[in-house]
Amino acid sequence: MNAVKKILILIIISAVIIPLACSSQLLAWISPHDTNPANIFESASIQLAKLANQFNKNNTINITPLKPAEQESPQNITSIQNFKQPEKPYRVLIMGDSFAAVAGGFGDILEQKLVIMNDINVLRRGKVSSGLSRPDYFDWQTESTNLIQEFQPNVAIIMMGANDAQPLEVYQNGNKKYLKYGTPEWDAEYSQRVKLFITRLINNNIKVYWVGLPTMKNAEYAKKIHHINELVEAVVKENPYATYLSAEKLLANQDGTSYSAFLPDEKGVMRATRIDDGIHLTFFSGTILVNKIIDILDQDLNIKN
Amino acid sequence: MLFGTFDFLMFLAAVIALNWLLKPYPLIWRLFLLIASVYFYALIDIKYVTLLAGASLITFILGLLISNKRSKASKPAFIIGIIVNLGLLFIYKYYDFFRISVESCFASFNLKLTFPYWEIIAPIGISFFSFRMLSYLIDLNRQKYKAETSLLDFLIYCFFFPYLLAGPITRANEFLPQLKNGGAKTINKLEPSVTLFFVGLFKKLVLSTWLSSALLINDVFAVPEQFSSLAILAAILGYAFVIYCDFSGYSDMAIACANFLGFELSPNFLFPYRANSIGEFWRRWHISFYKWMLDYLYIPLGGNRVSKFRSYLNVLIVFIASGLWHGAALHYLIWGLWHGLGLTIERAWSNLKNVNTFLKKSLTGFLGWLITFIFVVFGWIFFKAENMERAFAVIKGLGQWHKSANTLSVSIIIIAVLIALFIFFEQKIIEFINKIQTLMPISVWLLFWISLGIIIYKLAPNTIPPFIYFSF
Repeated sequence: MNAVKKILILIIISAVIIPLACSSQLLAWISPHDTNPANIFESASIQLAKLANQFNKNNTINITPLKPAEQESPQNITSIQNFKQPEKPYRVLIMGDSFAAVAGGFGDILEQKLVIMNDINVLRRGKVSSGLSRPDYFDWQTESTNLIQEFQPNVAIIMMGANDAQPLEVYQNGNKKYLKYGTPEWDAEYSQRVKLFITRLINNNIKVYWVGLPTMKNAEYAKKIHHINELVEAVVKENPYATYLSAEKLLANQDGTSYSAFLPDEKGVMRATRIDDGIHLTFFSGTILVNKIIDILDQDLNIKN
Repeated sequence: MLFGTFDFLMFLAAVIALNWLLKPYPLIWRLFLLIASVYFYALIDIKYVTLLAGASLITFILGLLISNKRSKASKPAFIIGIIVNLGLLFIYKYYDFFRISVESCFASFNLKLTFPYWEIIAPIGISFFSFRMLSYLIDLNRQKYKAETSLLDFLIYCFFFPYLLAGPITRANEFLPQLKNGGAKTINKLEPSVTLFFVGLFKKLVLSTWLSSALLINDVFAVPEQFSSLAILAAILGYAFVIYCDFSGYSDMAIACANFLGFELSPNFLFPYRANSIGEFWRRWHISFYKWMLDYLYIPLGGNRVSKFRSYLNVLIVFIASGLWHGAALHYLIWGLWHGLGLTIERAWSNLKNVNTFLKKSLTGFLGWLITFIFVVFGWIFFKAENMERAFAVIKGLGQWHKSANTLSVSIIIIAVLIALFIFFEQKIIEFINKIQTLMPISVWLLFWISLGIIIYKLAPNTIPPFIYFSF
């Protein structure tokens, strides 16, 4: 058989068999934000993966049962117990999505600044593409429980939500149901998940600081993120032991609202606030946020002395 | 669409099938190659298709003018071509760095100088694209070959998807004659190309990503203060293998893809960590880039044909430029300078006449390899660190022996050592796979590669790993 026929057979069989055999990997790789309708090959590979999943009933991707947060949690999680103010030495837990995970954004700069202070231990746990919407991909509720046990923090700083504007999968009356983003049901379920997340921390005497997401460059995405920020802020503000820092306001344009690609530094030189994607922060804007959160921590907990 | 994703596999299958089907019809085949490549790029960065197409068109027209040496327009066309392509690179990669540096400098003296600022998002692969265009224009000016007269062929050269995003930096006189001949009539070296593709896929999807996450490389380089010396050392060594697996894995796949379509590209990596000297390392690492710097910067500066001191200076200039090619930041400049100084010292050493020949000989063997390896690995600190302050924090962290190495388990160390052994013996492994392939009947051959492909994807991480060199 000649070389051309050989490579054709190999590559065509590979292009069909590999997506079928690795369907779970394939579906995990394709984020709902990134799907490109013009990419016919991506659509075809998704169809193949879905076909494989139909045949494989044991496949767990996308079908992890999840009850609504309210049902899942015992009453003592959603209500605040007696809270003890944290004392030195502080054990600071930083959690979040790519804002916490990826170098040069927010989490690592915060860790760099805190770790050199006296009486502060820091643990940063970031997971790219994670959030509270997709526990089948990464379950922050379980992760935070484990981190509380392992690290025993008394301060938590959270920045997440950038991947959360997507359908929520819940089980109601034994049936799987998807709550569409933009509906009151979605808002209620998401707020409940945020509440569960925060309350678990507070019940373990962990003071919570939630850093909201900055305004995004893409207008449609920015609207969604703004709404998520509103929901989170509302939940945080219900709680006396949690503080919300608005990155939208801190990194806003001079009019205080819209996306600002540049902000002046201390010398008045305009510096970029975002990397190429119009989402993630540059070292400069990350430092603005970090300095602000450190000021707030210092006011509350006197961390600089 | 990135190399190694599932949709890329499907795209590649479709392109290979249509490529060989349409080959008997030269015009349709050429149109197909262009459309497939533009579609590939548009899926990644649709905004910049017109920009690259515009730059290609300008370069094509200027090339025709340059090639006509009797024309008065030849010299201005060359200068304009260089300005356009360097300008493109400057605007997208260096303008903001330049603006901030100058404005900050003025502000330090209480002077105000303001340049316009705007959101600049560099098109993926712009550095590689610009270097190909520049080499074409310079070669024409040197009358190395004639300008391409077919716009279609030139656009295929500009957009050819296997090397479009991250090289190899293929020269026009390497690619265009193959295109003119209709590419190879069959796939030469099929088995080695298939090996190259799957080894590249394995290096990228499995080795690079596993090492990155297991050795917490990003965390260590971001906050080395949190890690022990051992963990930092492991991360630095790990990064040396990560960047090799990432970039050489991409190059391997690119070269293999081109070969599947009937085009031969020169190798971009030749097992660089086996080099016994820094000079040899650079003849094995990112070869197309190193050759570009030699041909279009080092030699025009005078190369070796000048005084020793001047030739050392030329080496430093070339390597500083190489560092800055990777990004407008001080840490890249220092990385380039580090290699430039290393090569300069190496050259000065080899030029010394009164040194014991035994000592000189011993430095070309194991000792030479060890020194080269340590030198190169240390240099990666400056390359990987976010900035110089972080680079120094990493170096300082190497002395933090008091901290416990709780992030490294024995199993991680064993697997990391196995990966290092794979990389050191990669050439032998590839030769072995190539040899056993020829003994396999077609059914076993298919089963072998498809099974291997499935294993690679099963071992891959649960998010798409980006390629490090896409950002350069």
